Amino acid sequence: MEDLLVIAVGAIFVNNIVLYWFLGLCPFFGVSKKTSSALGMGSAVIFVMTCASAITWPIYTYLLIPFNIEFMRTVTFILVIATFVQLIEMVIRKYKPSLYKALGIYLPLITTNCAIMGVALLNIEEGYSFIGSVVDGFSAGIGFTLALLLMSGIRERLEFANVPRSFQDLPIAFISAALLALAFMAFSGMRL
Amino acid sequence: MIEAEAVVVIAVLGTVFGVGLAYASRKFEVHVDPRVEKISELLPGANCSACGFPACMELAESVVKDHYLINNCKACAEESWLEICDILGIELEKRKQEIALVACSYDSVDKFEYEGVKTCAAADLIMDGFKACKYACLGFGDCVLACPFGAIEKRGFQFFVDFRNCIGCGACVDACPRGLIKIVDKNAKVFVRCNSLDKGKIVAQICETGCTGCKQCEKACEKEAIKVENNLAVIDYELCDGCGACIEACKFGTIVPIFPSEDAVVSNSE
Repeated sequence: MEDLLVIAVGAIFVNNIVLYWFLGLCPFFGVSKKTSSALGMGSAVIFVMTCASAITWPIYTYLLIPFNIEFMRTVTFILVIATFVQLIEMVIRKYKPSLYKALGIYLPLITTNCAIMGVALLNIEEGYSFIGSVVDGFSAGIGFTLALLLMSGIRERLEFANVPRSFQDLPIAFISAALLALAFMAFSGMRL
Repeated sequence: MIEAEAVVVIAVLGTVFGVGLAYASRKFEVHVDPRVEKISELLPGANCSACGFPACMELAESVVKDHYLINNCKACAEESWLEICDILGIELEKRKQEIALVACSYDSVDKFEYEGVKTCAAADLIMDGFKACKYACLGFGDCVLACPFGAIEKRGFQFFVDFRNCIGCGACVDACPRGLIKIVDKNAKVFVRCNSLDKGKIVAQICETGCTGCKQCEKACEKEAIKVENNLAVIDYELCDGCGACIEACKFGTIVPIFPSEDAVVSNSE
C-alpha cells in the first residue's frame, strides 16, 4: 500500500510526466488555452494512460519476455495502445454516447502520444508490478491533468498581459512552462 | 533466430489486432443517418452557433429529426439551403436576411486616458468606460474577435461590416459589452448610428454626431417609420421605404445611408 502511495505521489508531483520528463508537450501547448478543453484532454489522458499501463504490462511480461524479444517493446506498445484506444472508442461510442462526446476529438488525438508511450515504457524500466503499473499510469494521467490545468490558468491570464510582440502566444507559453517546471523541481527534494 | 521470433510475434499480434478491430467495428457499429453527413457538408461549417447548437454537425443531427430547425441556420447560402430542404423533403419560404451594424460613430470625446487591458469588456468596467458618452463604442474590437466570419473590420477608429460575409448571426451582439451592435434587415436603407439615451443637451456637448432626440427626422418621415424614444431615434424597418428624408433632416449626421460600394463592402459610415 505504501509503495503504491509513493508511486502515485512520485508520478503526480516529483516525476511529473510533462514538467519532469517533458513528454506530451504537443497537447500540453495545444490544448492549454482554455481550462474547459484542458479538463477534457486531461480526463481522456487519465483514462487512456491507465488502460495503456494495464494492457502493456501483461503483454510485456507474458509475451515479450518468454520470447526474449524485450527490444521490440516500443513497436509492440505502439501497436497495442493504438489498437486498444480504437477499440475503446468504438465501445464508448456505442454504449456511452455522452462520454464519447465529452472526450470528443481528444481520445483519438492521444492514441499515439509520447506521454502514453512514455508511461508504458517507464513502467517496464522501473520494474513495477501490475498494480504498480496501473497506479503509475493513473497518477501520471493525474499529473498531466494537473500540469495542463495550471498551464491553462496561466495562459488565460497571459491573454491579457502586455507581452512584447515577438514573444506573443507560443514563446511566452514556453517560458511560462519552463518556470512552471522549475517550480516543480522543488518536489524532487522530497523524500517519502 | 531471435529476429525471426520477433517478426513472427509482431506479425501475429498485428494480425490478431487487425482481425479483432475489424470484428469489433462490425459489432459496435453505430448507425448514422446518411442524410446527416450530406447536410453537414452543405452547412457553412463556421460553427457560429447562431442556430442554438454549438456546432454545425450537431444542427445537422437535429435537423434530421426536426426538419424545421434548418430555419435557424442564418449562415447558409441560399442554394445549399434549398438543397438541404430538398434532402429533407420540405419546402420553406425564403428567409429574411439580416446583417449587423454598429450603432456608434466613435465621435465622443475622451473622459480620461485608458491604459488597462485592451478589451472592450475590461474597459467598460472602469468608470463606465473612458469615453465621455457612456453608450459609446470603446473601439478595442471585441466584436472583431467574436465574428466567426471575419466580417467586421477595424479601420481607423471605426468598425466596418462587410455585407458579403455578415449573416447576422449575432455573435458580435453578445460580445459587445455596450450592446451597440444591432441586427437589421439586409435591405434596410438607413441606419441610426447612435445608441445614446442621454438628453440632447449632454449629447451635443460630448459628441458631434450623437442623436439628440430633436425629432426633426420624425417630422420629415412621411411613413411615420421613425420615432424618437428615450431621446433616441428608432427606425421601424417594416414601415421604412428608404426615401432618405430623415438623412437630410438630421442636422447632426446621426442618421446615415447604408449603401453598398463597388466592391460590395458596406460601411455604416461614409
